[in-house]
Amino acid sequence: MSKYHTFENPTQLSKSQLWLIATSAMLAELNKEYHDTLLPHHIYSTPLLLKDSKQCLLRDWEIKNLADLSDTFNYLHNEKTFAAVQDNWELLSNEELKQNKHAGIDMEFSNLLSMVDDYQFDLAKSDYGWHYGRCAWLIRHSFYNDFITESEAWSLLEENGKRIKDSFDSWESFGLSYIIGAQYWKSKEYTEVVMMEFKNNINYLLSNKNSPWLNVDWNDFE
Amino acid sequence: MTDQELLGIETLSDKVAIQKALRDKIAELDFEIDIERIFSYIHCAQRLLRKIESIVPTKVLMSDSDKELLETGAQCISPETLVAHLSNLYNNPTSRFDIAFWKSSIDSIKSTDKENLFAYCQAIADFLNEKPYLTSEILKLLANAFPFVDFFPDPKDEANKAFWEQYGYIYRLLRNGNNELDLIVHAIPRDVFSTNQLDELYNRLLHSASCYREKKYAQAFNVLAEGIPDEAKPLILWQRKLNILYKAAFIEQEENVAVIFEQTLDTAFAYYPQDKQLIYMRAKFIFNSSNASQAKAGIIEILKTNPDHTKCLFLLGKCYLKLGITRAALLIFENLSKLNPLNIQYVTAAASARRAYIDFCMKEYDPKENSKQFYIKNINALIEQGMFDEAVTLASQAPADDADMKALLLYAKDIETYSIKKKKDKKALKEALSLTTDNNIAYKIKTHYLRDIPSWSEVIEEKEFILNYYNEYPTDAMANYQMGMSFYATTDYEKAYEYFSNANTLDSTNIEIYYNLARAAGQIREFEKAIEYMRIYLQYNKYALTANELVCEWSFAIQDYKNAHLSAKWILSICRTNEFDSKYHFYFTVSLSHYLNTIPKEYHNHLYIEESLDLYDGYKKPETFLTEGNGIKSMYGAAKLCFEMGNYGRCVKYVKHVLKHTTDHKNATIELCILELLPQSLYTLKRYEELIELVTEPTEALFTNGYVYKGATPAYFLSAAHGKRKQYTEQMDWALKCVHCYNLSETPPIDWIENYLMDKFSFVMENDIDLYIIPFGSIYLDVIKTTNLNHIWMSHNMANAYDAFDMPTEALIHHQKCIAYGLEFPDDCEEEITSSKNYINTHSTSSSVKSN
Repeated sequence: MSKYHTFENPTQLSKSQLWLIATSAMLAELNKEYHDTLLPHHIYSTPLLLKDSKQCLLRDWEIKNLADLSDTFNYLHNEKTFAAVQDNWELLSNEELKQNKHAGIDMEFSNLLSMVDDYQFDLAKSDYGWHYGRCAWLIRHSFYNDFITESEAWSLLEENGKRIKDSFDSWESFGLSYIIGAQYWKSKEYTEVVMMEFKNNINYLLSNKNSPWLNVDWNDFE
Repeated sequence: MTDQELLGIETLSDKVAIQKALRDKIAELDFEIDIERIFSYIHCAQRLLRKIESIVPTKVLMSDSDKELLETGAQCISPETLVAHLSNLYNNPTSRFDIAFWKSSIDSIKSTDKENLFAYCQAIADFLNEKPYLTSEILKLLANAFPFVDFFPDPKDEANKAFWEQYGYIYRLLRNGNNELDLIVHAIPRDVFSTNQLDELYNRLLHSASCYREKKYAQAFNVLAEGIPDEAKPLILWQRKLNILYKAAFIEQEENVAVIFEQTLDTAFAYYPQDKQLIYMRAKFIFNSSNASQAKAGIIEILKTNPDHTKCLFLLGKCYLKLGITRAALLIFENLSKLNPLNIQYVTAAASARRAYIDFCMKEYDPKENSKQFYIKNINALIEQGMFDEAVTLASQAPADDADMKALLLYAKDIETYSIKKKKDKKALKEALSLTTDNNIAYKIKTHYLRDIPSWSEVIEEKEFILNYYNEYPTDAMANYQMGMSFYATTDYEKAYEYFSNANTLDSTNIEIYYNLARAAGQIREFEKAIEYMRIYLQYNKYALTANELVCEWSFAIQDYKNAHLSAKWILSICRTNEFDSKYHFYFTVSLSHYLNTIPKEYHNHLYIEESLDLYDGYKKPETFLTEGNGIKSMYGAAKLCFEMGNYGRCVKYVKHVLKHTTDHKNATIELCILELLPQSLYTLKRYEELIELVTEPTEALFTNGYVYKGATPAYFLSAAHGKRKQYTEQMDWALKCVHCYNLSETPPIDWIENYLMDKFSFVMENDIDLYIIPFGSIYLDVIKTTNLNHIWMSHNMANAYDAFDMPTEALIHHQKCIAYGLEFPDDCEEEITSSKNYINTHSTSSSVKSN
């Protein structure tokens, strides 16, 4: 753990641009990156950081050019993960959802039912934030790796940002949706320990003076 | 103070009493001003409730009626008898979902009619077509037991179309199970409804869910609303109806549905006024349809009678946040996060409230009017909320010429560094203490200074600091806690326990205190108390390995083997790859074995034991597992469990696994494996040669210094094994050893020995194994003190044997014995007595002839 970056806007980005960068904040914070520049490491990039970024895009996302990014972009905008679980099980009574531990069912399904119980009818946009938030981060890193130009990056961020703005009404609801996606992703084994880092990051983003979400108003992007 | 004392409950047995006590405690409290106190009562009630709920009946044992049903199941011998039995199970709501009954009948078929299993597929498929409402585990059992792979034909073949129309649903059931029904069955009380009514309910619920998933909300609702009178509807129907309506009205925004929702809610309340879900629906409806102020009042009204309803508390927190009542909102969200750390809504709400609270604090105090208090209060608030970097920034803006401010800046910087590097700058903290005159600041610095000292040696180093801290704040929970730590570090556990108890009385909400209080109690062997305190700690830290391990160890120490076994089971389920320790395996099997030893065998649930052993096999074992005591003992425990339930094959497998990995056969546990478990197991399995090979040498080694009682069982089975292999000399040799060993028992089983010896004596007589007539006869006459007819017969035959071996003196003595025994039974054994008399006469005559 290192000290947080202060939010300074060194490249004089507009409010709207800062808002678009702030949509990648969960993953950027996880990787201790900058929240106020389009480049994830601002002017402090090193060959090693760039190599890591490239490896990550290739290994985890199979992205090595604009076409790959475009495929991933479409995939993330259409993927249904926790939403499908909600559609199937949200109508269950609490009694049924809480009985899951005794019903001889597997751990993953049991964890998913606990999630349904916790968020029942409270998440109109399910975990879409998880997909959109990661999408924003991939766009920044694709630019960082020169897979796309700066103007392509802004354009893609804007398209992605519109979906975020249409789906959520605050940084809090967007962040919540993001972490619920992470929780779904970890549903085979999620525990307090597994979720701790996500929880620390969302706490930082929603409460720390240096957080982009406290420096950029939710309505700064229309 | 214990949780029971805090809530004022005398006996811990009743959920209703706990909830009533909680309501009484908060009746006069204000949900805004007193929210901290309210939560301390809520946490307390939750701990007590969990304590009651944690007494989950694990089906290690069976009832008499269970046994009867199992026995009937074991008598199934054909498709017809099996289906009749399964129908019987299905039609009985208490047995329909209990897999043990299904398994016993299926196991019986698999062992008695295993060549004919295909014939059962048709019968079972027809049975399921008629009676499909079974849980996944039972369906899986059926699917795996019979060759359905051969039963279901190629679906692509047009000729099989009719078949698939009839059995397609059964195919899907057997393949996928029925997850949804798994959940429903636990939510409907089975003792209230008949089998037909249950099937009707299951059918409606499944059909309604199917409509819901197709977004046909009206239809989904009507399936549940119609056909069953309201007064007969189980709670689940109302809850599901309301969920459907909520989705339609508030998520999909369908017109006019909100009104139906409200009406349905009112009707549901008339039948189930106490139901938590209905209560929440009402609170949520109020929240959605009123302004924040009205919603707050409405929800508080609900909470007055349901103070621990977490979802309603969350709605109240949201109202507070909207109304700018940030402190109460923050406290609610933080406490809810403690109660359910995996609900991220609570985490995000707490984070937002935290910011709002800090912003409120900053506005509350004007830096110009009261500069010092402004900084002290806000820096403390920031530190309390974990906003260390902001605290340092604020502290650095404070007037630099003020000593208290300087101290505060040093403190803020250190606490920030500590949050990142987990290291404290003690010198800087002591400097801060020397600067400040503000008691509040000094207290904070001292508390931080002593928090989470990483080693006991460092605690000892700080002994003086702790004592001064305590003397300054003798009624402070943390000061008492640190005194406890200080005494614990110097192994004065009695004193440590005393101070931890004081700390717990002063602050029963601090969970860390429970942890060390439990450890101190464990050290002074107050195991029951130790377990009670540690269980409270575990309610908030259920994955804490050391704490779970201690509970397991203490339970074992007080011979609460059931809980020791269950604790070990939990530990093994949460261990990460590098955390598996042989002692957990030990507690898992040995505790279960010890527990079952206290219960008559006929009540043991073999299914549970087999499942436990499957788990045991699956648990990762450390590399040194079979070279250390606990690993070997755990496997002995597993083998013993198999032995006790008659699964000798599995028992031998465990023992041989141990033997394969160790050469130290003198180890006491390995000796038990070989001498106690192997002989009977291998004999029953008819693996005589293996028995002789594995058991002979260790048993002979026992007799190096003479016979010992524990040699009796292996000697008995060695004798029997040799007998089966027609090795009569060895058979008789081991039989004699067996009797010698049994005779060393404090209370030798005389009747058994007598029968055994008679059996062997007869055998050697019939088979002319003359060499053993005298040894068996001698031991018989020696051990069986009460004279009976066998004494006459045996002494006579012994005399003949002596004579045959040309030992006339011994022969004469035994003929005389025969006559002497005969005097006690004048009408019996005439032939033997006459013969002995003749021998004596002849022997006397020949002696006199010789002497002449």
